[in-house]
Amino acid sequence: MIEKIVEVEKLSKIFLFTRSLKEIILGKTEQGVRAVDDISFSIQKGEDLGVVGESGCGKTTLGKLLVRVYKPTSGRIFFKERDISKLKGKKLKDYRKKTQMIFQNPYTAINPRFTMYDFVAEPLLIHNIGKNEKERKEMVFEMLNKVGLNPPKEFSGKYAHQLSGGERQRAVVARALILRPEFIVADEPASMLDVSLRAGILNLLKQLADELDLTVMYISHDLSLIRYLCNIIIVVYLGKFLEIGDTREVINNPLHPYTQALVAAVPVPDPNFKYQKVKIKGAVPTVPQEPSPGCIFVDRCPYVKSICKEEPPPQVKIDGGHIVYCHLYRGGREIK
Amino acid sequence: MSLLHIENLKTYYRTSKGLVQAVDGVSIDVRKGEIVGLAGESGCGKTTVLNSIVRVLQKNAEIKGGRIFYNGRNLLELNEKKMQKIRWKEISVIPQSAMDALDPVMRIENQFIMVAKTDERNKPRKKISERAEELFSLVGLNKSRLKEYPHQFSGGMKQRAIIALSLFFAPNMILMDEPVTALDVIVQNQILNYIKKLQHSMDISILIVTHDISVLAKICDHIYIMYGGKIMEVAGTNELFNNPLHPYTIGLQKSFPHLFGSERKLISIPGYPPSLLDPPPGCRFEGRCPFAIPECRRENPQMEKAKDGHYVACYLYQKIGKLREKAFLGVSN
Amino acid sequence: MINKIKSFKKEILEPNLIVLKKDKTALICSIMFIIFILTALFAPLIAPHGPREILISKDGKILSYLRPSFDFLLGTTPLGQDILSQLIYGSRPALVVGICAGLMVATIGTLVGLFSGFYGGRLDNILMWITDIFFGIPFLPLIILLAAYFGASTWNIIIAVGFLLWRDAARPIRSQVLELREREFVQVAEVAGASPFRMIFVHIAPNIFPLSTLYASLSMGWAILTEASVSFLGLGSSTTVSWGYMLHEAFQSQAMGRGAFYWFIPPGICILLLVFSSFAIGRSYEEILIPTLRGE
Repeated sequence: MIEKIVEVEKLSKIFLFTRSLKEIILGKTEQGVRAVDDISFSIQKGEDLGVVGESGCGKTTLGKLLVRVYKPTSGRIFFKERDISKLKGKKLKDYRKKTQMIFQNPYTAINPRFTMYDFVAEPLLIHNIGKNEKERKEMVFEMLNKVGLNPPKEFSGKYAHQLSGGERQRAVVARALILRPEFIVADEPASMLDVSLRAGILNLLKQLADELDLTVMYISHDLSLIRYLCNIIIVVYLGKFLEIGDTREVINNPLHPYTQALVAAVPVPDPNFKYQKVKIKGAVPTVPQEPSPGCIFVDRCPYVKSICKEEPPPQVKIDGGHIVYCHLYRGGREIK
Repeated sequence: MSLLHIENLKTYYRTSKGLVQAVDGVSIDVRKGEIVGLAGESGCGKTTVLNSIVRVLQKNAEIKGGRIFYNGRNLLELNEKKMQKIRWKEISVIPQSAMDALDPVMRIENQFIMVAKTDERNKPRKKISERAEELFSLVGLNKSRLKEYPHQFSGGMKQRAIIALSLFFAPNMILMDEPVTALDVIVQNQILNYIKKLQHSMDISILIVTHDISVLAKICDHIYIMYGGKIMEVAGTNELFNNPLHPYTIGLQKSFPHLFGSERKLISIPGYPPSLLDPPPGCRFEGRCPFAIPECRRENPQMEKAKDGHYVACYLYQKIGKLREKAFLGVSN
Repeated sequence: MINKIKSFKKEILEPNLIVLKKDKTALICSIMFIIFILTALFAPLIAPHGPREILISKDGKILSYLRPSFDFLLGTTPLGQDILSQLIYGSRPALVVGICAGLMVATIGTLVGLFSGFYGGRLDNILMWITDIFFGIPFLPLIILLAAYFGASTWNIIIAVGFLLWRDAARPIRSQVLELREREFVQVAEVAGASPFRMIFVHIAPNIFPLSTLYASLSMGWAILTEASVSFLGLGSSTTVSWGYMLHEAFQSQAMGRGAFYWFIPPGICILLLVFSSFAIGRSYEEILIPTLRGE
């Protein structure tokens, strides 16, 4: 039976700007960046989901919402059918045992004063797992072994600055998995590592996800990497989902004009590759936009029509679970 | 006829721990109107190569040997005053994070004026503005933007402004250090297209340094692969990708996922780059190479000609062809 | 366990030793400081007489108004007390006030800075508002007022100084905390389920330690100076013989007019040296601090 492990309903996160005194007095409404804007989707157990988008699209914010580093501004998040959006205190702490995050930068994610043992064991201490020090030590060593930091005894005494980037990232993975979570958000897990070391971490994650029966959500700007790792892909732009579907399907047959541009723009390690033309202009806007009634992509879309500016795009389900949010596909067919 | 010919360059850094042999006998050739790529991971010395060409090095850096020929003249023999006539005017450099180096309190137009001042012959302001407008249109930026400040530009626009600045004196060559790494993929694509356009329209030579070989595959004519301060392999782009001969090149290729390629497993190269403080006497890649033989540890292999235009520094390159498919597959973690 | 010792050595001893090697002033001052501490600790063994001991000659005469001699290196007071012994014992109240006040300032200032910076929002506003109020309170007049009202004693001075000077430490520490809070390893701890207590005291506080120590040493200098000033004005404890008290007595009995430089100059020099060495040690902490602040 296919189980929905995470479900998100109309989720939004707005980062407000601090108002000046004048603005408060004049009663101006608070404005902010809509990092995640009215998103609804679900993740099946065991899936390898990829969330891809350019910088500032809200993918990292989405990840942090799911692990409750951020609290939603509105909307709800369900984990195994329980609403976790407003959890506090002990209940939130319990949730943290089941969902973990792998951070992007192994150079800043580890407290410089902690040994690798301290770092990987901390979650155990926080949640009071393990009857005594000896038991905890066994668990830590087992985990260090699993992530390839062998021999565990040697690595457990080392500090972060004594390890390479790749080794530090492995420690980050070890710590994330030591509580045996069910769901992991991996935020650009390899982007800070040298190219020749990236596959090591990614293959490790894949292997452990299999072994420990994890559901993983990978966040990345690198479409090629997502294609390698994930079976489902979501394309995000300015806090909204534009396209969802099976990875191969979306890449070979991108429907949304933005996805088409992304796919056409990715450089490929093959000098004879015939690239498609990138049909959109400009770049991701750096200044937060006023919320508009229509599609957020109107400024850059090469196929924009008047309806696009007036109404938000419909969710169109093309066969095989491929979903696109675009007026071009009303009625399930492409209208150009 | 090569425009830039670097011969056996050696640049070392004096540190409290000893001499770091960052660039240890590097030879590179760039012909007129060519785009040449220098690929390598962090710490391999590629940025030092660029800095050595225009001699903008850190205080503790020293060029210990080699020659850098530009249009037949050895740049290393020129004094500082003569080098100033080369920088910006003959060879421009776009360092890494150049777009962050734009003066935030100076309008872009004024930054052009700053560049113009590096030439002793005083150009009237009007002429400078005209030139700036010309260059802006070349990189697809609206000339009204010249009056703006850097923070009003997006990342891609800043990078294009930097490229425009570097073209002010119509140099024969531009050196670029990771010009598109910090940019989003769609903007990256735009910039790469502009670079290619420049090559065609201005017949300008470009030396690009980056770790991303997919980027190099897109625009370069020739690619040099650098590791541990030395060049491992050089070939025309097509030849390098279709027939890589050095184990490091092969490993590097297999670390880059292809968006449309076959479902092969991504590999990682086990081990770490060698310490350049006390480099091994043999091949720099020996510690991580799956094919290493005892000879590799004893003596550093010299560059040998495998084919016309294809050189490789490896004792085993002739056999690599057969072993290529299986390379690194056993070690995936 | 061995790791903890190694880390102590690396993080606390070594940076200190490096700074001491480079900065000669810091080295000299550290040695001076240690000498003062040893003097205070071993005063009964070092001083030839008690601080208030009235010295009587063999033939029953009070040995007062004596100029420096071989027996009494710094002479005696009009009451017949040995000035050298007083000087030696005087190091005690100075150091007690200095160290206690320094600790108090560091503790209060750090706690305020930690909670303010970490929680932000309303708590931050309230705490910073309180800090600003304290900034408005003039230092010495209040000390004098408190001393006059609550009676003179060393502890009153310690409390008064600690009570006021923490305001200097609170804001810079809060700034540091604000920056540290955004460091990834704190977020990493949060995701693992760390309580705010844990995040504050296990992850952030150790990185604040150098800054706290800086303010502790600066406050120590101020506290010693304040105690001396207050005692000099006669508002200090009359039972404890401190350097300020010595100056007070000297002034009262017009030692300057008599040319009894041996009475008022030594305590003055001691105050100067001790305060200077506290400030110098604080300054050298800044040297260690800057790379730590940068996150190296």
